[in-house]
Amino acid sequence: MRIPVEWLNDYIDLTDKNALELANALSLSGTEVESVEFPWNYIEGAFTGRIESVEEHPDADNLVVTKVSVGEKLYQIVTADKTVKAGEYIAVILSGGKLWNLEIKDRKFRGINSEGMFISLEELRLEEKSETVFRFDHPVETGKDIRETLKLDSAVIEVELTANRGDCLSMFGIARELKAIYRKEIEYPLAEIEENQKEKIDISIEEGCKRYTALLMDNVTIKESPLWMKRRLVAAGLRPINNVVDITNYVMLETGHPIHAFDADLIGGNRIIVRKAKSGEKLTLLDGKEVELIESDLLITNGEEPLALAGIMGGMKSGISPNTRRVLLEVAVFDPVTIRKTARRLGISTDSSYRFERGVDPSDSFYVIKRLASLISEFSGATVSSRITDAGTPSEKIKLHLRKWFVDKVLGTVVPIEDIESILSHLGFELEEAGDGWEVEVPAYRYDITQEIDLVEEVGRIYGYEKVPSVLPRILPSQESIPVEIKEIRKLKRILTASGYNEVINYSFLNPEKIKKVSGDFDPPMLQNPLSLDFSAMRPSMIFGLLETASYNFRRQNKDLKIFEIGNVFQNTDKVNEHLSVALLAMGKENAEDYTDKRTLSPYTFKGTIESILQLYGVKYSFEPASEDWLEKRAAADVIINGEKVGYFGIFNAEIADRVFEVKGQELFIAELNVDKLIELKKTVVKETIISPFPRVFRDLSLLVPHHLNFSEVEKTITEYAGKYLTSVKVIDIYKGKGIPEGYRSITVTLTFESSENTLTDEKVSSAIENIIRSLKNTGVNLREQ
Amino acid sequence: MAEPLIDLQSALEEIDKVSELSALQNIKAKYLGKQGVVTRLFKQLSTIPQEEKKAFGQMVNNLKKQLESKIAEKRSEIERRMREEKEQKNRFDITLPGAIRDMGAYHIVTQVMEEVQEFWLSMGFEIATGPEVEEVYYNFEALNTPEWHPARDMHDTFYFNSNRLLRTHTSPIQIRVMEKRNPPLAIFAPGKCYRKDTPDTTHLPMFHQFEVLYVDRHVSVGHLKGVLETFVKRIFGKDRKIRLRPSFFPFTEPSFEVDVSCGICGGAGCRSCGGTGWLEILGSGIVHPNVFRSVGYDPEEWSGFALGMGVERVVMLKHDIADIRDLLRNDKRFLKKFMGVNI
Ligand SMILES: [Zn+2]
Repeated sequence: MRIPVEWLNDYIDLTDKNALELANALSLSGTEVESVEFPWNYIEGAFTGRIESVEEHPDADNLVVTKVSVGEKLYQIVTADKTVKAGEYIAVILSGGKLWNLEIKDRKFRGINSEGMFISLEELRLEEKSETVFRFDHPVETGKDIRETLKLDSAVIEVELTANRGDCLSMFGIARELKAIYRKEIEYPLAEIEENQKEKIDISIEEGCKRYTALLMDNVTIKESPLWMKRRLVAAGLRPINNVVDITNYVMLETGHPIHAFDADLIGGNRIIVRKAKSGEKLTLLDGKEVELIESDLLITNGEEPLALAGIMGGMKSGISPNTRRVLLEVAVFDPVTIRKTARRLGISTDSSYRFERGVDPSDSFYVIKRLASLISEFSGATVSSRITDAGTPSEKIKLHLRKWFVDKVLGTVVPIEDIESILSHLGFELEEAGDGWEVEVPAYRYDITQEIDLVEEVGRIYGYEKVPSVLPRILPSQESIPVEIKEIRKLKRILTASGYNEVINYSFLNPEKIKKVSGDFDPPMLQNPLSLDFSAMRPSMIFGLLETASYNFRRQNKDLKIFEIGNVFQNTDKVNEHLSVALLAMGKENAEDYTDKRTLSPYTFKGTIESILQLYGVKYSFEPASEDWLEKRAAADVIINGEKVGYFGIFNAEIADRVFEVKGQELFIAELNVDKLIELKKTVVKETIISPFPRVFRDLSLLVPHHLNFSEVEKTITEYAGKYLTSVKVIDIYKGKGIPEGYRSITVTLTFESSENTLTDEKVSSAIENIIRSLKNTGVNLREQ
Repeated sequence: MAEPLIDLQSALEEIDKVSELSALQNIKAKYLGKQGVVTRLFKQLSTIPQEEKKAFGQMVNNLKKQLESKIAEKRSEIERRMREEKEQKNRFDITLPGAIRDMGAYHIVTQVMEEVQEFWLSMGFEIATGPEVEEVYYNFEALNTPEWHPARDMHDTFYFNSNRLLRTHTSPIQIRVMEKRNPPLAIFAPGKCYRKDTPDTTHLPMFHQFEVLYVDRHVSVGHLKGVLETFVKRIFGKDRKIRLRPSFFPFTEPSFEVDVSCGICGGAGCRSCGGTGWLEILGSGIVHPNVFRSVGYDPEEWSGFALGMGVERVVMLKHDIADIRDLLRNDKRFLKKFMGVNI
């Protein structure tokens, strides 16, 4: 909301404060200040002047040449407005002045020099479209800055009000804040009218409308509003329309009470029935849009057809027009939730609905309607033609007990009694001493005050938190350990960064169409109200973000990349499940920074990284052919623990990488593990095993293994036939090429034998080796001839 | 007296010219070997008349000594040179780059989160976590934000259905912890949050937040101030100050926006703080009695403070990042730039 300071000055004397001081004081007492600005600062060097003479331009029929006195000096101004007359008081920008970005300079019009230009209300943003230059309707001192004379030099403070402070959405509201801050008094404008019984209004209301107050006025003349009112409305960010509409807006900004004015001749009788809408009922609003209503919407009707959408917007049919002669003024109070539901559903937010949603004072309806009527009669010549007619009641004022010690306890300082009393009473609360504190009556406009703690906050924010001394609490050391997933995340990040992988963070949102381009197997949870298609699905797997990251980097010449991400992935179940996942992606060189290492990534080195992670969990894992159809079958596997799949790794399908992610000519290695599963399966208790004091025996075997035979089979045979002393089988070399028959590869393993009871004899080991060799032969594996 | 058979000067010069150990060995044999010139001179000694014997002997001895010392000197010279040549040959150019073992970088958001977490752990807070997919009750209702309350406008929320949503803040974790445990408690709750904001230079629809909750018997605004001051000094620097600006959050009362004094102008006002001298960094307040009621704590007996802070905001302030979206672009050069800044 925009607060013109000169307007505030009508109610509270702020002449001893500058706008920045006010802004600072407001912001430190809970009214957030967005900006302090001077809306007419785009005009410089514009002065009041008096036209001394007007002459025809010798060479142009459409121009006149004037002499204008500005202070002591006389200037020659050429203008196209031929209506100007000698003796008129005008506003003129002289050469050297500025209008927006336009610098005003001497300019020749058909040979005649002009030392500036006249200003119209359009240039002052006080009129939509000006036909003539602006004239004062009374003599003014000349040579004065126009901003000063027209009061356009006052600051506007823009405030952002928190959701609880509907009472501050007005000049009165902000004045009340300043009253408490500076402990000053407020003067409210007088509002007196003469009611009569020329006409009668019938009002009936129902649930959703707390109070409805109306008044009829006759002999209205629709015309422009006075300049000062337009100025204030413009400064406050509203567009002047006509006197009646402007006055309803003006009084709303002044009091915070939304107001509606109907053309009384267009509502068909002086009857107002406030009722819930019928399902399917339709109404065309002031902005021309037709809305279809449901049963929870509240309508203002004439008993038959709807006139307005209560508290939100008037209807087109009964709106004020240039022909309006009679008006029915509405000052109502509607239930915040009813208004909010309708406004939200229809996607409409107006100055009126915004205020009703936050709560409007039900106790000031008579004052507001009188204020309204007195201004309308003053500026449109209208006369009151009915009594103020009222339905509903102002709600009961609530009383709260406030304990002095409670104030001190919450704020952490002893607040002097006089301060508490002065602050609350300046904020409009009525206090009566009672027991260990006060009985406090809450003003009706303070919808947000319902509990004792609310009063404590009122005291604190005005008293000033800079006065509260800082203390450190004594917090006992926690007996709880760090949650296991936090520990796991930290550990994984440590291992992966040390392995050369960079951590990335991607959106949890995805474009579902992109997911489908990779595989139809995913069924991501969908958001009901996404920002856009790109952000509409929750990631069912972490790989999409990593692939996007790879694509982004690949296209920017970062072709060697090792990245990982840890975060939640989501499953489309009733509750929308989520679990913690870690995913890795690598492409390009094995060690990009190491010029002595020319290797590109291989399935074995990538698998090694996966295994390093798995080994952290101390569980037996195995690999099976991958079930993901978007991995290359030749180099991909599922990771299995205790018969359960916990993840996968492999080379990403090259065709999809190219088509969907624009990565080509480079293999993408990708892996994902379910961290929640790993935590669940993790071996938590590790006990010490006695390390044997007897020497170990190592034997190397170079084996010729057929291509089709997996090493896991070879290993299985070795362990099955090695006897009880074999403790490990370790691959130390793989060789293909010279000396190796076609269809075979050589795998060299080191076998370790160990006994915890005695030193192993050569015979024992040799017989085990013989056993192994014999059994391997049966599977087609032979010793390589040395 | 017999003329010496050797010209000492030319012998010394001959040694000088030698550059190989083998050649030196030959010269040594030539003069000092069994058949060497000097040895032969010694053998002549018996033929020398008695009166000249002494002088001759001295002369030959002297000759031998000079040759020996010259050869030894030459030998060590050659050996030294050979050693140097060998070293030169095997020298490694220490100015060539090392074969760097590429370390990965922690994301800068993680780094700052860890730094913040360290602080709260050191203060005695424990870590708590909660789901990203939340129930409306935990995200709003239990936090004193009923349906249709205008405060819900501050949290434009992503929904799966009428009851499931993406949490808009880490505050639901407060409720989940308090439901399970009795006070006193001090928790730090980090996590991802989501709000329906179109990405721009200062907004992301997904961001990281942490929540701090402290509940004990006599917790006041003074405690909140004390803890915040310590926190800000640790994270932003010892010369930084804070101020509490009264604000509104449904789940705390009184509520505060917390500003930290601008690090660039020191509070005098500059461009980066919009001329105010202060930068808004987090929201906080005294836990609202209704929140305690919703978890079954007696608000007359217990009191507490809570605060919540966006991590991206701290990252941007600390590392002078102008566009928040850079944090999610994951350009390798960006990731590497923050290698080891905080961890
Ligand atoms: Zn600054």
